[in-house]
Amino acid sequence: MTPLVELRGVRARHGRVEVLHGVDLAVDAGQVLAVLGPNGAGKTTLLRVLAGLHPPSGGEVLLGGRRANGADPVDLARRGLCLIPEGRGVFPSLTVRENLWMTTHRPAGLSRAEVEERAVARFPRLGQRLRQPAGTMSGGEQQMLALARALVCEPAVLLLDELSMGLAPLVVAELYASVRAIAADDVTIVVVEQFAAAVLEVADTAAVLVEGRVAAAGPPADIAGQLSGAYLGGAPPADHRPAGTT
Amino acid sequence: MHEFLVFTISGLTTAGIYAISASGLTLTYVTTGVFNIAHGATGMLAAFTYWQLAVAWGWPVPLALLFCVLVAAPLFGLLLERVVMRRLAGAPESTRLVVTVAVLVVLVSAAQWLWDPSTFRRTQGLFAGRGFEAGGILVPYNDVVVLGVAAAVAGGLWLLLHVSRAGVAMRARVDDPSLAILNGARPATSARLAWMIGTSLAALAGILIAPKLTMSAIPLTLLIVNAYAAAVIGRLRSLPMTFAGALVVGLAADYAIGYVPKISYGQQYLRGVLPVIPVLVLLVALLVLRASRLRGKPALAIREITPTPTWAGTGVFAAAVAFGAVIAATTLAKADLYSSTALWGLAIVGLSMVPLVGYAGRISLCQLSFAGIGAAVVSHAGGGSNPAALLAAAAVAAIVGAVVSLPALRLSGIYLALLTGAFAVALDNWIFQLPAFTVLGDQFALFTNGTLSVERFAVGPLDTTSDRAFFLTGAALFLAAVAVVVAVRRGELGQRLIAVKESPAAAATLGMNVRLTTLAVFTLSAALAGLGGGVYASAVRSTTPDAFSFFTGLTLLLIVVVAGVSSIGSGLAAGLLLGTAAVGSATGDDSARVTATVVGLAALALAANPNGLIPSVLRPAYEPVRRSPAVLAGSVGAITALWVLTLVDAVAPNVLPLGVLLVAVAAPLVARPLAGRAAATAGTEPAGRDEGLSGPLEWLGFDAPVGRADLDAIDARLALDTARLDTGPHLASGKTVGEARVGAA
Ligand SMILES: Nc1ncnc2c1ncn2[C@@H]1O[C@H](COP(=O)(O)OP(=O)(O)OP(=O)(O)O)[C@@H](O)[C@H]1O
Ligand SMILES: [Mg+2]
Repeated sequence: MTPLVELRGVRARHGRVEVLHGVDLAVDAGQVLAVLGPNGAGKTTLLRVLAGLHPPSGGEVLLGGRRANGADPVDLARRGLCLIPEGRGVFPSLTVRENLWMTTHRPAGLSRAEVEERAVARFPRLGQRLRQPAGTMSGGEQQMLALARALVCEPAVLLLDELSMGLAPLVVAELYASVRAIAADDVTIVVVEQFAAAVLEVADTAAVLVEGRVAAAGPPADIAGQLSGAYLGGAPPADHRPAGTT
Repeated sequence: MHEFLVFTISGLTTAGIYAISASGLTLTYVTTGVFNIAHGATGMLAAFTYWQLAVAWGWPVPLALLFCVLVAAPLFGLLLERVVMRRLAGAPESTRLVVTVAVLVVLVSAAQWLWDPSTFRRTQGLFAGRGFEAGGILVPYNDVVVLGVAAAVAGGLWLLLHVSRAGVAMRARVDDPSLAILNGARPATSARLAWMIGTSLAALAGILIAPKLTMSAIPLTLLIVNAYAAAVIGRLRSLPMTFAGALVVGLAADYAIGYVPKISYGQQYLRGVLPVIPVLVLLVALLVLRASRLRGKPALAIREITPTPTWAGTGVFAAAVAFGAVIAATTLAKADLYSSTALWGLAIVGLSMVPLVGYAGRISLCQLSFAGIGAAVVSHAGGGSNPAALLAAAAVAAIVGAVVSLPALRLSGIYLALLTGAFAVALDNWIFQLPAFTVLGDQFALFTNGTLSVERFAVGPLDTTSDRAFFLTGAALFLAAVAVVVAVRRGELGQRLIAVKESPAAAATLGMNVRLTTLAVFTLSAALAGLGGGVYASAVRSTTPDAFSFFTGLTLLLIVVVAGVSSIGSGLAAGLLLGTAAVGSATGDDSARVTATVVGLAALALAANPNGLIPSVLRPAYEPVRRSPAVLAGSVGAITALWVLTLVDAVAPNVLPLGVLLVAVAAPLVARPLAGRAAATAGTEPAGRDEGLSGPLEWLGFDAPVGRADLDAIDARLALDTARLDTGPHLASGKTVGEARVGAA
C-alpha cells in the first residue's frame, strides 16, 4: 500500500538558511504520525511544506502517491488537507459562527446549520459562544474551535502544530482526547508536539526531528524509551513552555 | 420650518452620497489594509467619464450610469488592484499612503489632461431635477433615489460582509491571510472583489455628487474626500458608524449652506467656511475620538534604511550645490535665472519633510501650507527689505506647526495624514482666501486681494534685489537648512526620532518622551517649511494662494519621497522639478501636469523600493566618483573650463548645460572600473586600520594571514590580557580563511 503522505529527501530553506536537510517520512492512510523535536528543529516548516504554504527547495512531497511539490495551498485545503497552525488557528475578529462558516466549501453541500451542529456536538462549550468574537475566548476554547473547524470539514489529512501551546495540562489532555476520536474515524494525522507523553499515546508511529533531520523513527514505545535524555524530558512540564519559544 | 425641511432633505441626500463613498473606502481598508487616499479621485474620474457618455456623447442616462458604475469602475478597480495595490501587501504604512497619494495625483492629472479644465462642464441630477410635492415642499426624485441607493448599499454591504462566504472570507483574510488560505479562501479573489466593489461605490458617489458643482478635477476630488470624515467617525471599521458619520457630515454641510448666509455679522469671513465644513468635522472627529480607537496597523515587512549622513558627505554635497549655484547664477539668461529663483524656497520646503517624514516616519500633507503661512508673514513683515521677516516666517510657522502637532501627537499613520490633509485643505480653501481682517487694531490680510507681494530683503551690503544675488543667497539659505537637518539627524534628537519610528513601544520603555520628541520634530519641520515659503515668496515677488495649494503640496511630497525621503538631496530634487524652468522648457505649458504625472507614476514603484532613488540608485552610482580623486578633479576641471569659456563668450551658452550633463553621465562610468582596480591593487582600504593590527579588523584573516601581533592587539582591545581566546584552527596555523577552507576540502 502506498503511504497517503510521504516525504522523500525534502529540503526547505528560509532565505539562505536551509532548515530541512533531506527529510524522509511516510504515513499510511488512517495512521497517526507524531513528530517530536526541540525548538527550531524545523517541525513547523515541515508542516508548512506539506500544506503547500512553503515551497520545498528539494526532494519530493507525495500525497496519495502523487507528487505535490509546489501545489496551491488553497487547492490542497479544498481537497481535504487541513493544517491547524501554530498559535491559535482562529480568526480573532470573526465570531465563532463565522469561523465555522469558513469551512463550508467542504464537504460540498453541507449547510451552515449542519456545520454548526456538528461542531457543537463535538465541543458543546462552543454552543454558548457562537456570537462571540473568537479572539475573546480563552486559549483552550480557541484551540477547540480550531479543531472543531478542522473536523467539520471532514479532512482526509489533518496536520496539527503544537495544539498544546500555552495551555494547561488538563486542557491538553482534553484536546488530545478529541484527536484520538478523530483518529478513530480513519483520518490520517501528522501531529507536531513538544509534550511527548500526550502525543505518544495517540500516535501509531513517531519520529524525532533534530536540526532539520530525522534523528529517530519507529513505534511510539521505542521512541519514548529514547527520549529519556536531554532535550524533551519525557513528561510534559507542569506549566507553560518556557518564555521565548515560538 | 419649510426652509428647515428643504435643507434637511438636501442634507440627507448629501449624507447618502457620503455614506456610499465612505463605505467603499472602509470596505477596501478593512479587507485589504490599504487606506486609499485616491478614493475621491476615482469618484472624480467616474464623474468625468459619466459626463463624457451622458452629456458629450448623449447616451441615455440609465445606460451611462450603469456602464460607469457596473462596468468601467469594477474594471478600473481590477486594474488598480493588479498594478498597484497588490504590491503594497507588507509595505510600511507610510509607503502605502504615499503610493495612494501618487494614484490620486496621477488620476487628477489624467483628468485634467483628458478634459481641458478651461471648458465649462456640468452634469444634471437624475430625472433632470424633476420631483414631487409633499407638504408644500418639492422633493426631487433624484434625492429619493439617492437615499434609496444609499440604503441599498448599506444593506448590501452588511449582507456581503456578514452573511456571504465571500465577505466572511474577506474579513478572515484581514485577520490572518495564511490561515484564510488554509481554510480554502483564495486571497487574490477577496482583494479583487474588494477593489471592484470599493471602486464602484466611489464611482457611484462621484457621479451622484457631481451636479453640486461645475465639473473640475480638484474641487470634485476634494468634495468626495469629504466623505473621509464619515469614514473616520466609523473608525474605518464599523459600517453603521460610518453611515451615522455621513449623516453628521451631510446635514452639517447643508445646514451650513442654508443658514450661514443668514448670519449678519462677518459674512465675508464666513462664506469661505462652507466648503470646508466636512473638513472641520473631520478635524473634530480626529480630535475627540479616543486615541486607542484610532491606532493604525503595524506592518513592517519591508524595512526602510536611514543611513546617518556624515559631515564629510554633507560637505561634498554642499560644495557641489554651491558650485552649481555659482555656475547657474553667472551663466543663465536673465529670464531663465528669474524663473529659477523659486528653486531654493521649494527646496527648503522639500527639505522640511526629511526630518518629519523621513526620520520620524510621520506623513504630513500640510508642509506647503506652512510655507504659505511663511510667505504671508514675509509679505507683511518684510516691508522695507527687512531680513528679519524670514526669521519671523520661520517662527510663526513653527508656532502654527506646534499647535497643529498637539492633536497630532497621539495620531499616526493614516490618521495623522488625514489630520494634516484636513488642515491643508482648510487653509487652502478658506483661510488663505479670507479678505482683510483686523486683529488687535491691526489691519491684516493674509493674501491681500488674492495676491501677496513681497519685497526681497537686504542686510547691510548684501542686497538681494537682483535675481543673481537672490539666487546665490537662496542657495546659501538652503545649505544652512541642510546643515540644520544634518545636525539634527546626527544629534540626540535624530537618534530619538529613529528610535521612536522603529519601535515606539521600545522607545517609551527606555524612558524617552515620545510626545516631546514628536512635538520637536513637527515644530522644526514647520519652521523650515515657513522659511522655505518665505524664501519662495521673496523669489517670485508676488504670489497667490494657488502656489500653496493642497494638490501642489501632494506633488511636492511625492517628489521628495521618490527621491528618497531620508536623503537631504531630496529637497533639492523637489526644488529643481517644481521651482525651475528645467521641466517647463522641456514640456511647454503642461509642465505642472507633466511633473505631477511623471512623479506620480514614479511613486507607484515605491512599493518595491520604499527608500527612494537617491539612496538606491544615485548614491551607489556616484560613490566611486567621490572616492576617485582623479575622476573628481577631472569632472570639476572640465566643468570649470566650460564655465570659464562660457563666461568669456568663447562657446555658445547651451554648451555648458550639455557639458555638465555629459560629465554627470560619464564620471560614474569612468570611476567604477577605476575604483574596482584600485580595490584590487591596494587590497584593503587603509582607512579604519586599528592600532597594532595589520589590516582592518573585519578583513583580518581573509586575504592575509593573522599574526600573533594581531591576536595580541585584539586581546588588548577586548581587555582580555588575562584570558586567552581560543583561536580557530586556521588562525593558529597562520593560514587565511581561503587557504584553510581549501585545505579542509
Ligand atoms: N520566516 C522565517 N525566516 C527565517 N528563518 C525562519 C523563519 N521561520 C523559521 N525559521 C528558522 O527555521 C528553523 C526552523 O523553524 P521552525 O519554526 O520550523 O521550528 P520548530 O521546530 O517548529 O520550532 P518550535 O518548536 O519552536 O515551534 C529555525 O531555526 C527558525 O529560526
Ligand atoms: Mg513550531
